[in-house]
Amino acid sequence: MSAISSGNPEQMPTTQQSASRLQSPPTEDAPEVGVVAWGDVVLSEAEHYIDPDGVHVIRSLEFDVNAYDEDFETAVGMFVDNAEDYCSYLANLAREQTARPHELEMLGSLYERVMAIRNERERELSQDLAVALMRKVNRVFGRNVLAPKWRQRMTPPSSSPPSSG
Amino acid sequence: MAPTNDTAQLLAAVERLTGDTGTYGTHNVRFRIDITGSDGKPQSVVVAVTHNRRQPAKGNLNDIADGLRIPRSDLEHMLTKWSHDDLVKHLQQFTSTQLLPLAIRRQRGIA
Repeated sequence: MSAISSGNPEQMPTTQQSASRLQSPPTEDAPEVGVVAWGDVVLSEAEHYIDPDGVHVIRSLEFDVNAYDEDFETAVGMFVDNAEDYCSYLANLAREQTARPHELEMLGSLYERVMAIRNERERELSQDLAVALMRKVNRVFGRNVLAPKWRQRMTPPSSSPPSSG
Repeated sequence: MAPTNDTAQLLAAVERLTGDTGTYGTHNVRFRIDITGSDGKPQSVVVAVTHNRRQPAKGNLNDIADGLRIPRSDLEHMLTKWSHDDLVKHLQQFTSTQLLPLAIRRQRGIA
């Protein structure tokens, strides 16, 4: 099973998988099966194929979620957006008490995964921002300003013992 | 222009057929139709139309036809000629289980 990944470029499909895709493009009758994931977090098992109109189709094998685009990576990103929207849609149905049993079932598993994806996105984003900020600051000061450092105490320690109350 | 070639027309046709104004998401609109299946159990059928393309993707049209349980080749006829009541009557021929989304039917081994 290949990874139809989104998010961090390091998580993109491997060269071998990409090469096999180029050799024989997946069709609806013979789709590529994989997962849509952000980092290590799997959002959904899915199938991927290219329609005769040149559009990449990504269809969830677990939820009522699909995405279509001429660009594969865009389609993967759209799939994640559509899954998040579908989760909100199902949550509204549940609140209004109009959700069918299978919709509540899907909400149960999709909600957990969407939240995990959001946490992963936020973690990656804050990590990326911190790294970018550190690089800029270090460039300005010409040294590793934000690295942990040892600082010697400037004032001599008090000779009186710590107060008990 | 035919609804299968123009997203605005497609959105209007699906809205008319389902009788639902739709729920807008980032890339698509979900239209819902409530049905009583042939087994007497209530069921909802939901189809999603991608709204941010000028021309609908073939895959989206296929998924709409599959979702509404009509042959893909009949989609254009259905979108232009059918009424809301025609669609309700058509869907009422199926059991509530047959009207489940494709992913769920596949998981349960009934697709």
